[in-house]
Amino acid sequence: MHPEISLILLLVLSGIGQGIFIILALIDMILSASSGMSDATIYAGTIASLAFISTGMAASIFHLGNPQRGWKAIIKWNRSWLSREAVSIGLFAGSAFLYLTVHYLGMSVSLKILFGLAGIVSAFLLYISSSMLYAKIRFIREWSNIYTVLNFIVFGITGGGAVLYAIVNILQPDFPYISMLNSVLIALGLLSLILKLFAYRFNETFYMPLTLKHALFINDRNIKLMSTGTSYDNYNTIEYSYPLSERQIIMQQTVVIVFAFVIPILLWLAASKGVFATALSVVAAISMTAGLLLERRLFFVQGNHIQNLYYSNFRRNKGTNPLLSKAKKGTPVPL
Amino acid sequence: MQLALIIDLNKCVGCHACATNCKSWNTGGEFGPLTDIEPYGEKPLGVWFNRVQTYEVGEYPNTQVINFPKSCMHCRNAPCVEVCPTGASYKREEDGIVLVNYKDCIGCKYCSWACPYGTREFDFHEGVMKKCTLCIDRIYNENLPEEERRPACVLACPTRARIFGDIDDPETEASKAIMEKHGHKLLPEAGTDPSNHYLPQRKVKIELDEDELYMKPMAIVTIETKLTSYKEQILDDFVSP
Ligand code: SF4
Ligand code: SF4
Ligand code: SF4
Repeated sequence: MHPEISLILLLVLSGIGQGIFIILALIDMILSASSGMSDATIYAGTIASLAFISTGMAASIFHLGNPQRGWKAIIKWNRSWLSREAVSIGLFAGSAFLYLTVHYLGMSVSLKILFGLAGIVSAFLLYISSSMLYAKIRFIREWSNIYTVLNFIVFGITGGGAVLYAIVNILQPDFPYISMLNSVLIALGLLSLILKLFAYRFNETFYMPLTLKHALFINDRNIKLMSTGTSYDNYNTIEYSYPLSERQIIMQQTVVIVFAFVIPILLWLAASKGVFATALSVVAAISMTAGLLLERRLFFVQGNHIQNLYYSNFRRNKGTNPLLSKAKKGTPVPL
Repeated sequence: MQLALIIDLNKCVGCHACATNCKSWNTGGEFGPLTDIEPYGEKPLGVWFNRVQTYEVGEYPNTQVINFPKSCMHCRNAPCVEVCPTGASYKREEDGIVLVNYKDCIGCKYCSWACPYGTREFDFHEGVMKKCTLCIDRIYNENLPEEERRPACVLACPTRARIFGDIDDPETEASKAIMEKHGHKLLPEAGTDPSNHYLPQRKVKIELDEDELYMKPMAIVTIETKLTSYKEQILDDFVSP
């Protein structure tokens, strides 16, 4: 599918924004009694979360042909996953903002816990609805699988954790639970890495029974597209394009794995020793964000829609990536 | 009632008359315009409700050409309608036509991802999703003469490869064509239950049983005799003084 920059920014940035808030609110609510984060960290974290989510929301406007009618999707809040995404993004941004306000005004703790919980719940709703939106497209096998949902949730939380860890390192290096945060991040990073490898492996190995023969309902193995009927591209060849060669896919997958997961994990390990922790955590956060942007871009590019059969540009997975196992005929996956 | 198009692949010659007439009618019709970007330039890009693709089937020299017109199938179980966040895409109860209400469409393109056939086209200029309307602004149009209240593509087809009608009523030409000529759906695996059907290309053969074969010379003889006598008679008449 055509990797639209506005959607990539929306998904990655808002995912990170949600992740920052989830971890921050959890730490603040559970551990605040004992020692707590400094006010500066809480402000910086919540504001960063709001900044990420609003940049994502702003980017998403460029995806829509008629964003001024966006409210029509919100009032039909339970019609489709996209409506739910629109509603939960609003709920999340609202809760995070109220959380910040309540903290700033020093209002009662129970109010803060209320908005903290609302923020966490709506952040999860947002992860689920924005991933189900893709997982529900059953004509793109690379999207309609469990990894889409798991990856959106886990990568978002890990990315958010990376940013929050950098913020804590800058503003409050003596935060008593900093090493715990570090270990949690390393665990999340490893989990992300494993999930991504499984997702790439799935992309290379699932068995797609449909061919052009099925698409046209003509029982002959030799069918060639002679003419698309147009002298240039059309919406179908642009929106559903699959622009990467096998080599480029392998290269980009490797870059994603290295930048989004391997480098940050190594940097966090190094930072746990305490030397240059601030610099290391900042670099880790930048590397992870960049890696996740490429990861989401590749997610779109690798989405291979059934309608590509009609244009003879349907990619068959060949299992050429030596890092992953060879493609084998597994059980056919029903659409 | 479920209105639909039946496309006879046996008859389609790939002239694109349906596609061009569709474009011509609809760009000025109620669901227009079908915006073109750079229509006369190097890279013409525009919205079409119907496109004809051409495939070659078989191995040289035993090949056949299949011209394959494809427009929205007006699925009974339309996934595009299910996913639309605003309800802009909807399926009409009364005749099963799937339409987009441009006034509600936010242009999120989600519906086009959900369609397995690639028949929805985004209008980059207007920012809304467009698709075949089954010429709803013709078929119920009282300003048109009765015989023209049919889809533009059907009217244009020089080989009558396109049949329009209600496939729920077994008495219509459309239903009969499906029954008699083995009409099939596209990608039944997708579970969308499309309403448009295709009549497959087929070889025309006559099957004879052995006893029919035995009868054959006699039949030919009879016809030949009749012809000869008829011919002779006329000639006789002509040459007789
Ligand atoms: S063919 Fe595609 S656009 Fe038309 S009703 Fe079916 S799913 Fe929807
Ligand atoms: S592009 Fe328009 S019609 Fe399609 S799903 Fe979005 S709002 Fe609905
Ligand atoms: S029915 Fe009308 S809108 Fe649909 S393909 Fe034919 S001419 Fe175009």
